Amino acid sequence: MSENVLTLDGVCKSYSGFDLRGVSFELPRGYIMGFVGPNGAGKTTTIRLIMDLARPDSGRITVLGKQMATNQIELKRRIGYVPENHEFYSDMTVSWTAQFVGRQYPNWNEARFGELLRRYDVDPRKKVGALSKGTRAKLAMALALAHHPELLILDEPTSGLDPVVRRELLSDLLEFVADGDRSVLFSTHITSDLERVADYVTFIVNGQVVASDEREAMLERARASNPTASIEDLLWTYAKGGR
Amino acid sequence: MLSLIWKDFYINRSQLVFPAIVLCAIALLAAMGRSSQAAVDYAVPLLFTYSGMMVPFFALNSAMLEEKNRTLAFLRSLPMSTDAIVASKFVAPLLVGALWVGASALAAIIMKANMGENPVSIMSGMLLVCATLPVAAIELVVFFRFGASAARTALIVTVGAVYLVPLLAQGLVAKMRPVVTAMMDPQPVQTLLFAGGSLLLYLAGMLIAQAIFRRREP
Repeated sequence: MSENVLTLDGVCKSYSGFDLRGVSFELPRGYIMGFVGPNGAGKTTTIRLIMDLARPDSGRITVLGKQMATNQIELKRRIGYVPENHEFYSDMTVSWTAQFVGRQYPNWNEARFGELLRRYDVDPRKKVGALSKGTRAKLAMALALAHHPELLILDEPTSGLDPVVRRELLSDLLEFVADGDRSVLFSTHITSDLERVADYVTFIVNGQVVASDEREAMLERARASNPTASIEDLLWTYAKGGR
Repeated sequence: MLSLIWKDFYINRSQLVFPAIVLCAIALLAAMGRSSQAAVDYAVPLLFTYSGMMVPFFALNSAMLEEKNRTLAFLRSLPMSTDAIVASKFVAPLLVGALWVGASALAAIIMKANMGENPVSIMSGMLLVCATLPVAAIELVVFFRFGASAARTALIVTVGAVYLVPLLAQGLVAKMRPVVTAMMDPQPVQTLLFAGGSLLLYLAGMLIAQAIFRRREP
């Protein structure tokens, strides 16, 4: 059994009007986990807790074998993170942004970044503020991949992207984990993306994890009663309170 | 942290252009022997005005750009400490102040060399820049606690208080006169003591802002 690159154990966080309650799941090394739930389920909150952008009220979060809170700089150097909103300095160019980000990562690979920009068709001379939403998403992805991370954490990475770019991005995720050493956690509410790439799926509804298992095992169990069951059907069932 | 300081300089570079042009123009005119008493009468107040503005307005603009771009969360997602993010917001304006003092001193030396007398007190310029450090510190602490709009309000209120308090304290005006005279042409020891005190307040502000930012969730 591969070691776990990410472990959440009983993680709780309260905000006014929303509670994350007892979130627990594990991501083994070398696999892709889809983190799926309806809007407002707590996907982004969970990811922010993993990235130490918020602090849990209780529970433990272990990333790459260490606690994020006390090792955040070292761990963030080994993680590629793409947030839901891609905020950069809008008056700066893509290449300036890359230079600034690259200085923070010892493993930054300028050639790899250039290759990714060419593949994603992003002009490095353009100002970030002039990029479309989809192009900014591609830039964020290139920045996350260029320093050869061990773990990729993506918050709704395909949201707002056209189908061609979505398929390219999903292929990149498969290529990323191909060596068996790197892992991906990506949150989404687009269940068709999960059908394509996810090895594991964790469902979160109303701040609680309702299921977390291998995708194929989940579908096999669901197809015992519904031969055509899909991830979307499972999400629908869980969102309506079923199990 | 160097990359953060460089980033702050670069994104605020437009703020430094006009003061730099003014300084260069003054120095160039003086070097070409074209300074006159009339030019000095305009140049000296301008130098003093910019000395009082450089640090707090650079800090405010830097804070407002981070808020406009919503990049504090982006910075926190990078492998850098929150303390370094805050420290860069304090160090960059301090460096701007130091550079301004140095450049003004150079312009003053050039003016003195060509006019034969000292039209500008280097120490008083440095004193004025140091006097703005606590103002910038208050502004930055308010930024990290409440945001850029509140920081702008804090700057306006603090600067207003600096002007209003002496006016309101009418009875103290006569006693303030020797202080004002000393500020116009301070001795090096007085300047260094004042600078040390201002820097300590600035450092205290930075530590407070770091504590605030550590607890704040983007």
